[in-house]
Amino acid sequence: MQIMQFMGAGIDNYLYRLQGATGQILENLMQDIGIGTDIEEIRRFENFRDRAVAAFLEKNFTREEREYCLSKDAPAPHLAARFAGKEAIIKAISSLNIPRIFYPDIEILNNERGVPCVRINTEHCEKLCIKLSLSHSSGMALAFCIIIREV
Amino acid sequence: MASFNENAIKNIFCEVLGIPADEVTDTLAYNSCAQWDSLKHLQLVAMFEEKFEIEIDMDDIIAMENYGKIKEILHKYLT
Repeated sequence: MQIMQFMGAGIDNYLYRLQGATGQILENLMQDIGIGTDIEEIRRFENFRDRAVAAFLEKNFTREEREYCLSKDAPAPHLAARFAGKEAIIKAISSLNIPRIFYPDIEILNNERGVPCVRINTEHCEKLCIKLSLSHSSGMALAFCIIIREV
Repeated sequence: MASFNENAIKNIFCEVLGIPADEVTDTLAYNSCAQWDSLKHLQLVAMFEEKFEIEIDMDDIIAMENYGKIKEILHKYLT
């Protein structure tokens, strides 16, 4: 009986220490993970030929992004999704306390399987693993981003 | 580079945000104006840059949090 109690106490102690270690690992891990999300109305990108919107696209989208989106029969959902993606990435980066980056420094292009791939053309972001998911319905475009800081 | 013109600033502001000129005051702020979100903010900046032939720094773009501040920042670029 005493042996069983001793073993029980040992296991409790072990579990307690394991829980503490796991908690510490998770806490450290969470400091290196950033998330961000954004949602945009597609209709706001339908007038992409208007002066204000065209100037905005020229300033905040890369040439490749503009060419990709404007090559589509309906560019607006693609423009809205990319803008949502940029917003989501900025939010995720901000949550990691990395100096703020701006829209034209972020490039979102699809790979051959249609997966959005992110390139950030600025310092402070070399060691970031960025995962981005884009989606849209008939009226809204949505983006969700997870960033892991590689240590 | 163009010169500082408060009427031109207000015209662009009203055109982009869709707000009547008589509703624009110096205290009209980004976080209290429903029409003024991040997309409109970037459109505003793009229009100011195009109209006045300037390039606005990122810190100034972020600092443009109300109409009065916009005028103050643009004044810095246009004088």
